[in-house]
Amino acid sequence: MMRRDLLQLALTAAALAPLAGRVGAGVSDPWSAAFAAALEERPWLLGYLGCEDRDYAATAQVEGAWPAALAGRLYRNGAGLHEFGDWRYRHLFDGDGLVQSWHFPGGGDGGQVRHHARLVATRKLTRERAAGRRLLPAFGSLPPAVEGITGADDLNVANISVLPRKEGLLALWEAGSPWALDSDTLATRGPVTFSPQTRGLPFSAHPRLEPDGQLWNFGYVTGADKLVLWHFGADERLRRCVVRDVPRIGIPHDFMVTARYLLIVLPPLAVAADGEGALIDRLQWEPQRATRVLVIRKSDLEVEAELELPAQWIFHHGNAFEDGSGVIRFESARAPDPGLMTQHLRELMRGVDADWTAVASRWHHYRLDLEAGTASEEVVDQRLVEFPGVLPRHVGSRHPEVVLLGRDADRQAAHGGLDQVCVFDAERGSWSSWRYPDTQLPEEHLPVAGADGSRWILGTALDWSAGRSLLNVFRLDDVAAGPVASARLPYALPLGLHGRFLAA
Amino acid sequence: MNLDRTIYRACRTAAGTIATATVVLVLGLSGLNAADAAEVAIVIDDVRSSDGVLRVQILSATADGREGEAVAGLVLPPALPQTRATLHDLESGRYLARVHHDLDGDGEMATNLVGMPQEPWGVSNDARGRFGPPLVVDMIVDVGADGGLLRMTLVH
Repeated sequence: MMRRDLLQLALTAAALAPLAGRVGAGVSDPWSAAFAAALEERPWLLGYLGCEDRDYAATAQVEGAWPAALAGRLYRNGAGLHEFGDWRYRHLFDGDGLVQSWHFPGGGDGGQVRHHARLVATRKLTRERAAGRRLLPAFGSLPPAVEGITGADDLNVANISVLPRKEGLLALWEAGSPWALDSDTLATRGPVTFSPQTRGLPFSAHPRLEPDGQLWNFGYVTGADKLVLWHFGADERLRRCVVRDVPRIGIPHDFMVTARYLLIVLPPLAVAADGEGALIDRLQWEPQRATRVLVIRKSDLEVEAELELPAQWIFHHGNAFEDGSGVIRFESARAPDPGLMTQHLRELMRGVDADWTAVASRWHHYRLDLEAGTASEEVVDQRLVEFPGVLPRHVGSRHPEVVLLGRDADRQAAHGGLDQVCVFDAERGSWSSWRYPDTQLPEEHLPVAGADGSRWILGTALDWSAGRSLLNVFRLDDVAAGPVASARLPYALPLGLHGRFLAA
Repeated sequence: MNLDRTIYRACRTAAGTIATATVVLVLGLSGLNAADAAEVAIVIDDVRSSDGVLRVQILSATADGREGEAVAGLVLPPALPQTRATLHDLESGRYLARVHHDLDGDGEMATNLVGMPQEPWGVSNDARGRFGPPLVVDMIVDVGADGGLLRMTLVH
């Protein structure tokens, strides 16, 4: 064994020592035991272990020069509590929401970065804590002896994203209500009702906030084939909420806005009305059907056009805009099918490290010609990508660049995940990127603007070899140079999903 | 998620039927053969408001576990936190019940834009769905010659 490997093993052992008694605590649960065994062999699985049922708080250790113009908070969310009551969830999307605040109030003022993280005390988690075990089904898991439910919010784990609003910091799921937290302490307040008529309606985790402050969102009710559309004014008040019938709506995760339209892309993923197991067991991929694109007018929230693309799966879109010639353009991370979700992110929970290249997503350009009634697509690059984002000021209009996580198609990182932060220059069609060391697993990276208009990328990662989570800052215009500053925590957090930056 | 459709449809149907029920059995009403008739206790838990009325619908269950005819409708003043009533002279058999707390007294189940109930409701046996509505078969209660119990906890 090479010296470097020995050193890495020693570091890993040190990092994992505090986890003794947590890993594999569910001795009677075969998934928990399988994951614990796999973690010993592949310590990067630390990113999927899950958090403890407690609050986390620390002042991060800052290295490098934190930009003076970058003051505020990065809020993040993600599935956190994977193991509870001697039982491990069977899917990466199921864990209760762990909301984090990375707070850098003074910009460059000594580079002080404070972190804390709390689980969202949803109705579900509150009931399960009281019982000391899982009581309810989840998206991809069916614990033993589950209880029945009375509505979607009984299952709401508020674990996908966040949205700072006047009601507080909203922790977002996608099939139910947003859950409000105190934006400073992250203490849970409860589900948010925007109006009596909209109580309990689904509010997706990918609302689009336009530069003028208007907010748009959608929601889906799969069994009833309903599409919910939300529109809030710049004053954050609900302007309109309408419900449209959309046959075979499936489970769309994201959407887009342009100056005049909302775009909802519907992959041909059906949900069977009945069946045993968790919801995921009722998903049916139907590649013989088209992917539909609904073009909805903002003016009256009616469908103007329904266009077709080949069958494909998309979790996330970058941005959309009207190009001035009657054509809508958008960019998305397109996968051939939802295998990453239906297989890989399931097996990962028992430590199975399968090659997912065949079901990975690649960056694609799309063109919707409303006059001709046609939709077309084009692959931009062969690298594998996910978590696309544009600067907030470009939402709904032509964007100069997109920030993504990526991986070269022919290079498998030691940890099996994406390993680069990339900037795709949409005007030149060129890429720049910085590859993380194999000892670190990057999470979503967000393009953000500093107080003086300067352009940055904020992104978190898990240093699995040291057992520490970190926040990096890059120059958006020179990502290849690597981070200009890093803030490291004394603990490891599970890999999460999405976040938002709120400038001070 | 496919959670809500039928629960809400069921509740709306119940509410609608109760609202238009032509037969409202008053407690203690008699008329059936005493030999076949049983006394059924109706217990509604977690009543949180004295506003409006509790509308209870009782239906017969078919032999194969489906919903049969509506056999009785009750309109009860809410008592907190538990409202009780007794239904006399119900024939022995298999029944199910639904309750709607009509808070504003308008005779309709208030719903949101996709039809989810916005007033408290409950079903017998406190039957609950897994990813969908409670199954009728889980709501069925046997009423024998010695009576029976229809117990419902309100969902808010």
